[in-house]
Amino acid sequence: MSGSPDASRGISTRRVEIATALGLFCIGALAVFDSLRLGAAWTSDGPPAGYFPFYIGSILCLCAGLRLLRARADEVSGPKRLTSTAGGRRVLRVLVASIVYVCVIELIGFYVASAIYFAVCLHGLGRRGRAASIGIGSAVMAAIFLLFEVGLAVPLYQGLWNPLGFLGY
Amino acid sequence: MGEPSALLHGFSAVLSLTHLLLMFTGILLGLVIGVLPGLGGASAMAIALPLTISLPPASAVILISCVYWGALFAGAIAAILRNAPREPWSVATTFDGHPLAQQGLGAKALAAAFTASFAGASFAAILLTLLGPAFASFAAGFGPPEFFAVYLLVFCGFVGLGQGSPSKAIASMMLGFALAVVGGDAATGQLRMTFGLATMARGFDFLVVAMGLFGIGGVLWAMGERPALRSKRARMTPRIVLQTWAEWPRYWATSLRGGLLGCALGIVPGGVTAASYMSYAIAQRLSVEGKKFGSGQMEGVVAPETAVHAAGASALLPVLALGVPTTTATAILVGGLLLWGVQPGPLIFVEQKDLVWGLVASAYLGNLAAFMLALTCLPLFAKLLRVPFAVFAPVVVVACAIGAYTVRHEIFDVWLMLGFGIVGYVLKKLDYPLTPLVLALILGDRVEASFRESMVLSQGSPLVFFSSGLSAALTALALTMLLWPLVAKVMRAREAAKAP
Repeated sequence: MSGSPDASRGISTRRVEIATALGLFCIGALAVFDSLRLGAAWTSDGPPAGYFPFYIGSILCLCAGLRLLRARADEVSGPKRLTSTAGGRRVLRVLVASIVYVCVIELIGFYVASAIYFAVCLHGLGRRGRAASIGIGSAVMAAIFLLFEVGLAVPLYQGLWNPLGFLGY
Repeated sequence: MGEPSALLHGFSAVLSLTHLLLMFTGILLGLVIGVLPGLGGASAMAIALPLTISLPPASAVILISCVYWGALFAGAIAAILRNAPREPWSVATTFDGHPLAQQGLGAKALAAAFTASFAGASFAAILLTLLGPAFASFAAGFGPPEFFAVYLLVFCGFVGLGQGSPSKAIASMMLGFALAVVGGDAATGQLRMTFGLATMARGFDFLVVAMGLFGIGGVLWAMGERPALRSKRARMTPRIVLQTWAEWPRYWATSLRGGLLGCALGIVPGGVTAASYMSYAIAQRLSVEGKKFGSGQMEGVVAPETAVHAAGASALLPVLALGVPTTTATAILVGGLLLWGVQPGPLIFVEQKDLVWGLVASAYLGNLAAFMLALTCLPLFAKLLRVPFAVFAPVVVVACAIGAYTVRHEIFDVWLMLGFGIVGYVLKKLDYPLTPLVLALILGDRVEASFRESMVLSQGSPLVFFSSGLSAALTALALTMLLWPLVAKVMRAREAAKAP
């Protein structure tokens, strides 16, 4: 899938396959464990709460086990590398920026956090000029505010410290 | 009220000023998001769903269905001009569409693709009008075993008809079911898989999961791949459009075959992609220019595009008649119906006439409007193909974050959505199909209810699924589909062993 020149280096698909299969196995095991707690066998009152999830968890464990065996035996289809080093870095950059964005939402709410996020992404990832990035970020903030707060009457989170409080919202 | 008058009522509802505005907004959203890499129709619908929360269901369904129509049209633009299909069903369009663009005939190929798309969708819309109510009244007599058998058939269809690994398809759907059971059990009231966490007691909202998987997952995928920005230019002029239409009688048989095939396969899981490939293969076999297919034949564009749009529209039939989606986009539509407080199922034709006929009318008018918009605004959408994705990434992330928040007004849902974004990215990279996951999450409660009710009827005997002719036939077909990959593998191994 990856066509980058450094595709020979990067994250191993096999390792991610194994980690994914282990994760799925854990979710399946949790479902089975919780089903047994609730009751998974047929009772005189009919099926208990754990009846259906028990089957789901068991099948998930089975499939995850199969994927694990395949991955360990290196029967992984597709490219050897999940992504190139450069591709992985770009993914990580967007991911970290998004995590920081949500942290900032917690503090100052959607409107200002979105404006900052837009400006930073356009400047850093989109290679746009500083003034243009700030301008577009501010315009987006105004658009989101007008659409949700005024138009749809769906108020968005204002944050622990509401920088737009002086507007009466 | 008979079907013609109900449909006319639907047309008059769609033609109101508010609904026309919603229709064009939806189509534009679908066309814009649909051409972006990593995203597609399902992402566009998931991103647009939060906008419908404060709308009446009849208006909301028009907006969301038009996003769907717009995104279907957008598929051809990326496939033909950039040789970069956004959805698996657009791959067949690239075979002849991109060579035509390389020969400088991109605009003509797109005019043919849009016309074929409109023809296919209109064909399926007529079928939907005629068969929808009949299918729904037939399904109204279904009991829990029949409903469970239908669900089983749909899910086994992903295993039997899917292109990838069967174990990955099953794991993906089981993950969806496992997510669906988190929270309070509707039958007993007991909390399941919450492990004492209060935030887990409300369960996972499908919209939060869908926006994470398709929206954020798509952004991460596109950033990782960084698709090339090379794309062929196409200047659409009235002369090119009229020229294409004048040549249309040559393709009537290809178009009709594609429409029929699309309508038939659109109702089964994975049918849209299968319809596009089959329509292309049949056109290649029957065409006098069959040997030239792959080098830029207009028929090679018309065949898959008619089939894809017919299948995309006919996929609404099982949704309206049974409340059972078979594609990601229709699964999100069902999730939307639940979000708006509408119970999908056979009674929808009786209980929600305005909504249903509005949706059917939007299949006619929405496709017509999308056809006109795609033809007239092509340079704008073609330009979007040359804009770096990094510019669109923050738009999608912000839209998803706001969307996730508006579901329950909880910041925790935004974190959850980001988490599912990472899950979506990893699963997509590893070729785990995401459609069964979303479908299982949306239908989980109903599948479990029909399973439990059936088992109660039979006092725990699974033979209840063979108690009536219909449920026995559906269950047997489902089990055949489930076992088909294994049977096919054994047959291939035997043939290989026989070969010298």
